[in-house]
Amino acid sequence: MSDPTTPTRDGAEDLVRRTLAVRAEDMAPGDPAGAPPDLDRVGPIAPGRLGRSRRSVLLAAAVVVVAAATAGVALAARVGDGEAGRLTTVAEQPPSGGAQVAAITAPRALVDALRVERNVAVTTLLGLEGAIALPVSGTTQARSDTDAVLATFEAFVATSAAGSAYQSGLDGLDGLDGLRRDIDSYTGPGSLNDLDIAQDVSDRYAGLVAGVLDDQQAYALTIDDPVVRTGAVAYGEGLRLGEQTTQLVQASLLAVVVPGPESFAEAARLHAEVQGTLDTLVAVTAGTPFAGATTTLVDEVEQTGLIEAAERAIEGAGDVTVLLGTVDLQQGQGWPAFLDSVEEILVAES
Amino acid sequence: MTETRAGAGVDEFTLVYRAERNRLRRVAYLMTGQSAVAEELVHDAFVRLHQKWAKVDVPAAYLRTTLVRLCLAWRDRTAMGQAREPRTADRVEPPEIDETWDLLARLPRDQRVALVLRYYEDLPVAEIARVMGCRPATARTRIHRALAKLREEMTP
Repeated sequence: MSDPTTPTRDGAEDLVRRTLAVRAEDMAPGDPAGAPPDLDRVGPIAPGRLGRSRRSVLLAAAVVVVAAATAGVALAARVGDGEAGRLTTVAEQPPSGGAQVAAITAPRALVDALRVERNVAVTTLLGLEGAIALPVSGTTQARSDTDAVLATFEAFVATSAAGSAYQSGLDGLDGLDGLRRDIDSYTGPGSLNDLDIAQDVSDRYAGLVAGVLDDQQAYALTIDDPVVRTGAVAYGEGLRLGEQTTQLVQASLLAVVVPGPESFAEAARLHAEVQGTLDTLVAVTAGTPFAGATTTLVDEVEQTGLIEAAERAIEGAGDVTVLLGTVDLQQGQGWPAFLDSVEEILVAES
Repeated sequence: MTETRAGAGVDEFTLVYRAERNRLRRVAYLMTGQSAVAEELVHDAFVRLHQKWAKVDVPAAYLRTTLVRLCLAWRDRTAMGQAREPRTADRVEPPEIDETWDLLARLPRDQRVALVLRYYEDLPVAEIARVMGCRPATARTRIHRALAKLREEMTP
């Protein structure tokens, strides 16, 4: 895509581009969340007739809807309640139980901010800005929020003994500027036709997040206190679950739209991964103060129907509407609420 | 910061509608010069997509093609494309923008559509030809002639 307002050597072409770009703004945006008017109910989707681009639409839905559902709740709860200030304060203190908890939970605000920034980028590239509710006004605010959280995170890593565990993930975040530049280079009107670009952007953000999560898990295993160590491991697994569930919905949708050995295998792999994370949480936290939070999380995940819907997709009998419906995360539920609970217990235990 | 929830449960057609509608409204407006007509044509395009939903593999491409054909057909039946809508009062734009907009309104319908597809939608000539249902050479000629006419009539 090229920017229609970019001057060219041809004056007429330049004027046409500029005129069209300017006059297009005469059409005020319609209701971004509006439903199609005067249409009958959309009928069931026939999987056998869906082609690659229908798959793209569904994957776009998965990328945007799933991630927005999770990160929206999480970020509002974190950035708004002074997480950055708390990390700064802790970093200036000598090592203590509080500092240890801060190190365990440090990645969350950053991961949430990166997820929101990713969602804004993806929705913009797909032309869905305004159509999906996000907790920020746009790219500028999303990046500003990330930068603020990242600056605090960097200070934490630089000044705290425990924070140094995140040096590797922080180094990986050097790629953020390049990713943003690549996103900014796509300046044409967003469209679902740009799914390949959006998927690539989403994957690159996921890579940045994964580096930080790996550091968190490595740090958790260095903790001597068995209860705190368990909480740290559980916290990391909870953070990872957010990414895994997103990927499972995507893979399950793909298994519905493009059924076949490869898509079934990928959905099955991610299904096993999510199940494995939940099983790990149950096993690791059994008999610890974190067991109750785990039970609640497992119950809530089961109530969404995600596991069952994914199983049906793997068997070739998946339903798109059901799968999209599994991501409707209520405030105070799911992995964000689980992380809150684990953190509260960690603070109490410290 | 407002806590939000995504619109989970949104069906696939609605998602396409939300994603494509505003872009198509702008395209239709640029092709017709009439915002009310643009709204109607975009609506008609979505109705047609809805009717063909189970058979359409590429919704965005189907919508674009349908809209272009609706715009061309609409202008075949009427002369409304020559009319200008009043400008929004709170915007001041360089005079050459107004002049170019007027010149665009006077172009033959197929040339104006071709210019919108090329310079707003940023489509390559081959795709413009596919959408307009003509050969690439024809699409290229339409663009060339439209630009030549604009150059000829622009204030030096």
